[in-house]
Amino acid sequence: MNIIFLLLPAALLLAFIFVLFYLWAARTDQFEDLDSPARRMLFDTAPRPSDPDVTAIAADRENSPS
Amino acid sequence: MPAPRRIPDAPQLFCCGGCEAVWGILQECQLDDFYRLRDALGENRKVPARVSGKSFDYFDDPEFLRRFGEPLADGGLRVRCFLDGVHCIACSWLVEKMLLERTGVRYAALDVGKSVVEIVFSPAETKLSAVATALDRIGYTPHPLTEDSGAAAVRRETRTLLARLGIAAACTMNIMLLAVSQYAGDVTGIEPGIAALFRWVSLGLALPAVLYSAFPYYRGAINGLRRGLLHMDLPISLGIVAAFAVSVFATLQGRGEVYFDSVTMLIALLLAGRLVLQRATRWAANAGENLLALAPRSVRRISDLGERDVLLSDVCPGDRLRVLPGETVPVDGRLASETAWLTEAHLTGEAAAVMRTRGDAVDAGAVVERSVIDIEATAVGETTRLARLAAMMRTAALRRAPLTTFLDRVAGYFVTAVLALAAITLLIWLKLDPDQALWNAAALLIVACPCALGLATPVAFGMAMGRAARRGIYIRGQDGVERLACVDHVVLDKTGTLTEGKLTIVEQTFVPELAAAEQQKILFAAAALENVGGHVIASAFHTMAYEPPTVSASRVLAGAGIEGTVDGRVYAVGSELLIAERVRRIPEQLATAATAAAARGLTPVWIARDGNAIAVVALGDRLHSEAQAAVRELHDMKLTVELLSGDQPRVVHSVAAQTGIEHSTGRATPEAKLSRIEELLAGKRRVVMVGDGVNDAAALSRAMVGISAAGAAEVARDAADVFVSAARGPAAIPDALKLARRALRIIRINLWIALAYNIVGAALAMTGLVGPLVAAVLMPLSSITVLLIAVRA
Repeated sequence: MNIIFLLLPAALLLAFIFVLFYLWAARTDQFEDLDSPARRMLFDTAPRPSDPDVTAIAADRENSPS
Repeated sequence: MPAPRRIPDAPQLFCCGGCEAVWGILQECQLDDFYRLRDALGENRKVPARVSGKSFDYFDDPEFLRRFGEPLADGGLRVRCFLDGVHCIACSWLVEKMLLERTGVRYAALDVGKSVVEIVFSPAETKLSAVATALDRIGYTPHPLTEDSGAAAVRRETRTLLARLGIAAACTMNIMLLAVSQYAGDVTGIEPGIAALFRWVSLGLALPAVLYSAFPYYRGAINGLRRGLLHMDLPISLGIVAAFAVSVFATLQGRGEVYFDSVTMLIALLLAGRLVLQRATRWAANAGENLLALAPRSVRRISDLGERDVLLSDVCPGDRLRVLPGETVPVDGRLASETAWLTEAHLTGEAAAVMRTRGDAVDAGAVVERSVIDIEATAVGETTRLARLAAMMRTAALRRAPLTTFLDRVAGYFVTAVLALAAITLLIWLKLDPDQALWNAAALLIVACPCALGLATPVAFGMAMGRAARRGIYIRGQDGVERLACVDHVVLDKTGTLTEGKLTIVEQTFVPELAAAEQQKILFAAAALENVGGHVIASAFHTMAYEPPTVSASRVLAGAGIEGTVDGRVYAVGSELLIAERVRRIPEQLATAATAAAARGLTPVWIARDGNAIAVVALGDRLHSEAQAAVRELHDMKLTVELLSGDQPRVVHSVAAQTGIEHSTGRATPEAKLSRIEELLAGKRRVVMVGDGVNDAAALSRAMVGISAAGAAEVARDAADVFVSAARGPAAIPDALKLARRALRIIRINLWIALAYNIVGAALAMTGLVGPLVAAVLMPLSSITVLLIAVRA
């Protein structure tokens, strides 16, 4: 039964490490928004070669009435 | 309703030009996946895109960037903006994608729940004004957010609460593992050395929970004692400390019972309850207060250097400002233009616009109609009439009586009872079996500990507030819920609360020979004519026509109306006098309609075509479709309802008659409203004030609880305890009251249940039957029962 003297501290050390992770997450405000990250994972992020300048495009549209 | 527009070769139908423009932009930027994504994610709410078309040049001002931007170590700048028009997850895809594809934007994340986007960009590579304009063009107008100290403090509070809860929960679960072994050891036998080890380890694990996590309860208890109040935190703290002390004592002595598992579980559950309440409070607060934290508006200043957008706080008396139609006048001033039409609904309650001429005083908060005006600022910031009304509101708020929650009273009785019983237990057992005396007294304190109470009320309030928020009712704090629940007298404002707050066509009377299609054409023609004339009454006609007929000639007759040629026919629109000059006879039907309308406080507008009077249109502030039903519901709830408005008495009494309100008062100044509230309070009435104008703000803060619409004047929102989103309308008022009453009812039920548990537990403890196992079972049992009921709040 003396194995308990090894197991107990080992288990507690593990728990302690996880608590530290949790505290880091709390401190960096990771619990603020719990909804968006879950959904954001599902978006495709295919990189596009062009850099669309929305402002310019919108201005163009205003100038040429369609 | 505007008719839908159709693109020649595309299958889509657009509800308005704005949506069509956005669709075009998304097509060209290859971001049209947005529509596919929106449908795939099952979002049902399709909201028309609203492009503000504002200029965001002042975003590039170094002063602005210093105030609203947070510089980062690598030279980037972090800005947070509130976006209008965010309503689904697909929006977050669109916004983030569009932002990230710009060179210079390093990070963009939209929190859909809060409608706040966080952007990190490098100022060297891209301009914030370009980013903002891009967002605006696709329908998400950005408003930069300051991290005002209030919001930062709340975030810090949440962070600390999360930390405390996490630590308590970790400790609890590990102690429980050991506790199982200890209970097993009680049955099968356990080596004394191992038992001692478990006890000491449990003690060590309990320390962080008891010393750090439970600290808020000790602080609350001590603060309460200092002020002579018996706060609910006191019995909680006593229970925790007693349990811990007794367990430490047992560990040191090597014999007796330990209660580490019960103690830490108690702390963890209590903190979880607090977190639920805090989240609900923040959610409700976000809806209202995000708008309050908005950057001060930019105003257009005219100077020798030309027209420039500056921050409101930079305006000085003597500056010349330009205000566009639809915008609010930002400062008190003197009119520099020839004429101006202003709506002062927020200030006086009158929905009809008033005309001002050059040199007249113009108040901050008035809304400009129809034509651009220039004003010369006379008072800015704190010295405007608006600000003085706000100050009046703040002083009124200070005089409001704090609500002694009945929970605090219960806490008082509770503490005395528990302490008395513990003392009795101690004394009795000292005689019977001195060894057991301490344990039994401690056991009493532990099981009598109001875990259920401490848990049930925050969760019940949190659930109620969350439920309310989902129905468009945002309640500020649990205080707000309690106040709503004990209301017995309702004071309603008229403009914007029971009515729509803008001028629309309430009635129309035509000469009998005309078919419906013909009537429609006549109204369109009148609208087109009014549009050209730029008269404020045109706004009432304006909402109807989308395909305006062609106006070939027009002539404005000041004060009387307008006449002109539309689609080849000659029309005249205006007062009775104007029409009388142009027609041969006035049909009696129209005359009676006009008189009836005037008697009800509406403005009759006559229409004549080709020398014949053909219609009378009555303009007024239309009653909200749900107003009658809402008032009826309030009467059903046995509440006294009263109408108090700054508008003309004729109009006010007419609205009261239509909705079934017995008591109504018109022409009430802000001061008059305040004194009426005070009168009611003096008569021991529990008053709720519902209003959305600046003229309601003082009354809102003085009443026991104030309800305001989300679209209300800023000052009114500040004063109110409850906001109602615009979509809900007056029906939300009885809704909110019912929700609050239900929450309190559930809390009362929970109190009885908790009391029952406590009596049973106390009885067991006093007779010496409570061991750690019993305590460990009794406490979660009571907590869960109470929680399950509270969740229905």
